[in-house]
Amino acid sequence: MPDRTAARLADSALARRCVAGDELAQRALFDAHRARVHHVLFRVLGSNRDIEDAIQDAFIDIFRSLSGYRGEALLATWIDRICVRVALRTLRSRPRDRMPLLEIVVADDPARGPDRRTEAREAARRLYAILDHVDPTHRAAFALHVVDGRPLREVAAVMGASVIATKLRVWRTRRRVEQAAMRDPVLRSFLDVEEEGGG
Amino acid sequence: MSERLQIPVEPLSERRWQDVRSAVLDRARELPLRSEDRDSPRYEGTARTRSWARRASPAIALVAVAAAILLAVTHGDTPRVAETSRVVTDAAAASASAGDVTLQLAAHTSVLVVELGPEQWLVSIEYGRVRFLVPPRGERPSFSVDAGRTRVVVIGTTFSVAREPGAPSGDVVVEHGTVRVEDLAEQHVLHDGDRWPLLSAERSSDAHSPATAAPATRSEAATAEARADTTSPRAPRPLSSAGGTPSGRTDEPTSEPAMPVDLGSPPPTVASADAVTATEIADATPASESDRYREAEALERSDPARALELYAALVAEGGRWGAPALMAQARLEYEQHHHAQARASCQRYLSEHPDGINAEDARELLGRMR
Repeated sequence: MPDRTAARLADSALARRCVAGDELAQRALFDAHRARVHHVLFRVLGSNRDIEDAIQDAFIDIFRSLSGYRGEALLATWIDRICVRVALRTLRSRPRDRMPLLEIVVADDPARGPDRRTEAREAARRLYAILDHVDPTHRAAFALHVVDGRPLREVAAVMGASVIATKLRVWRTRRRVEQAAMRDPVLRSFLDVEEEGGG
Repeated sequence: MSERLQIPVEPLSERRWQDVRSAVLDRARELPLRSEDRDSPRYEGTARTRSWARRASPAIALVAVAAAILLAVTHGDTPRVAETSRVVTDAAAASASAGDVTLQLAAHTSVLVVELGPEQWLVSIEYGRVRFLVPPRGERPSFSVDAGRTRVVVIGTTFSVAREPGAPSGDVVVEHGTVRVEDLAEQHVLHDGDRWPLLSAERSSDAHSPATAAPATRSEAATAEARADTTSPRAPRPLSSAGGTPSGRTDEPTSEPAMPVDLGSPPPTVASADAVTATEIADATPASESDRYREAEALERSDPARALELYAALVAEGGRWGAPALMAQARLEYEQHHHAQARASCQRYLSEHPDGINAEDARELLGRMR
């Protein structure tokens, strides 16, 4: 707790300097949190396409809202919330039938071999293609929990939703993905989906 | 979908980052970032005198230590506190104040007192128990207390917060008034006599020491009755409702309307039980339904059999969490490949809650199993 409180104090001090128009502080905040902002937006949006615009929007929203930051939560958590909102706004402004760009890569895994990596990349692309047709809030919950591996409670906190609602969103999206994977051997091989009608 | 698809975040080149940074900082210069509060002298980083009256007996060790930025001490009875101070008691209780808020610290208690802004305080309980007497806040910022991940936001009230050493969350007992308790994603509004318990799983694993034992109250049953009076036990809770974050919450971004808030927790009680004092408090209150539901959720992966037992118990009790527990049970049974049981649970849900918030899910799950 002392560490967390100290971190909040440091966050508050940085926020105050940013609000006071200190450009060094604004630059410091940008550099300190750019990776986090990018990470959250990438997870929800699924690719780097147009992500610069989303990052800009997120930081402008952050700077615009900083005067309301009182240090009651870690700035990082607070920034996550803004990023999710910007991501949702971006998704809602996208054409519904848009497909994500093929920018997803899969980490090298010698045990799997190049073919497996290529398949994984394609599976990721197909996964986000399915998510393009899912409600943005469901998509964000699924991406942050299933793809990013965040605990449900954390996802719920970032999205301003209850754990139960978040769980339902993830579950519904998971079913949708599983149903699509039934007809898609590439995606199914990565998601380990059970055969329909089993049991 | 047991295997998580490993999708690393594709990095941006430093050139792209530089472009983004320039664009962001250019746009930031055009923003009206300054607020009246931020321009006021109090944000210039100087230490200011604050009322910090210490009313401890001579036998009490009350130690104020600079913890984060600086602690300035003045002469006489009004030590000056700026930013953060730590207050520690040893074998005896003590009183202290933060602004017009009185803190009554039990023995063996340690708190951090953080001054967040003008008349805005955050007290972080490291361990022990503190009773707070908070005058009505009026237009002033709320008064907040942290106990691990539990946060209490106070409007004006008398209440106690206890935290065992190292415990992730705290116990809250409200004597008079209203507070809002935030525990991760959950929020509850507590009124006279209400308490906020520890998670039962955490409570059962921790031994209670006399100095920090949770001040359980008799009010939970009264609160449950009050809730029962205002909410049908089987009434479907809406998954989403228009609205936003609770009023008074200051850490929400302000640039966009608040997102719809999903109501996953029982609604705040609107009927108040009789006020209780600390001396009227009884020991050992059973874990609430919501606690047990959360415990079951937490056990789904590590001990699904136990999670199913907990869900089944909640269903059998027929309380407010019975319907969500029944659907959770069905889903978990399905995920555990107990399809016959899952089918029965779905059918029971649809029979008992044909218009429930999970009715669509139950029908869909049934359809899949057919």
